[in-house]
Amino acid sequence: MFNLIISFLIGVIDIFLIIAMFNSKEMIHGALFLAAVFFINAIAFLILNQQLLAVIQLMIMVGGVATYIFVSVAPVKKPSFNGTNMPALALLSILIFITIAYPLIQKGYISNSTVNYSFDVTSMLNYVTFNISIFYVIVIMLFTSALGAIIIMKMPGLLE
Amino acid sequence: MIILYMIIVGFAILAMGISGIATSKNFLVIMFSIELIIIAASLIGLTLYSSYGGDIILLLISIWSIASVELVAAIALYRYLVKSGNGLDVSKLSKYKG
Repeated sequence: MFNLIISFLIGVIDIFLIIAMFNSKEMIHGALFLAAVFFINAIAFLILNQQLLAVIQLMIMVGGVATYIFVSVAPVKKPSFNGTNMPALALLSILIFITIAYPLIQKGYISNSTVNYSFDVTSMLNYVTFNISIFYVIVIMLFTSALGAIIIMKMPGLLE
Repeated sequence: MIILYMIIVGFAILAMGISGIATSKNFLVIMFSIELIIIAASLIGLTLYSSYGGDIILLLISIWSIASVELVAAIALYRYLVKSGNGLDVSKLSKYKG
């Protein structure tokens, strides 16, 4: 039951972050929300007992999102328009979700799995071994340095 | 139950990514939507493979390779958009239609 609550929270936070990403006026905020989505997805990988793949997911987050952040910050003329039709986005998302998910769940293709995940928060740190934790530190340092570079770029008069 | 829930979350992310491509005009938002589709693909693939058994790493490496290639294409397209003077509004690209 507790595992299910954790998974539910991850899914809800994920969906809200994606909505915030589409709704953000500044593109750099959207890129940061996308980074948060990557981070939540890495936690979902940890729940599925795949700690190495979670680290690789975070590495890709550092590379991809940092590039997007630089692209969204770099132009002199800031891309402040959003251009997303939110009602159409919501309607189309629900339609596509029902179209994809309903047949699979109704026919029971997914619920026949026999694997039992013994995940809980106390044992989560045991999954993260020492070798893996070094990669986590590297990922955090890389992303922090990327954000620091952006802050330096945005400081007025520093690069002129 | 966790597997079913993760797959539902993956489907939801996939649906929002596809809808984001269809309903956005901003180039960066479209690229974010493509990243969402890649996130959903990796989440659904990992959940299914880890529940039914099998080697997921090759599939995920291929998905992440596609993600990196997509990023390179995004940078090239971004440079093209900025040089053409249209900003990031992709709806203005139709005037270049041949």
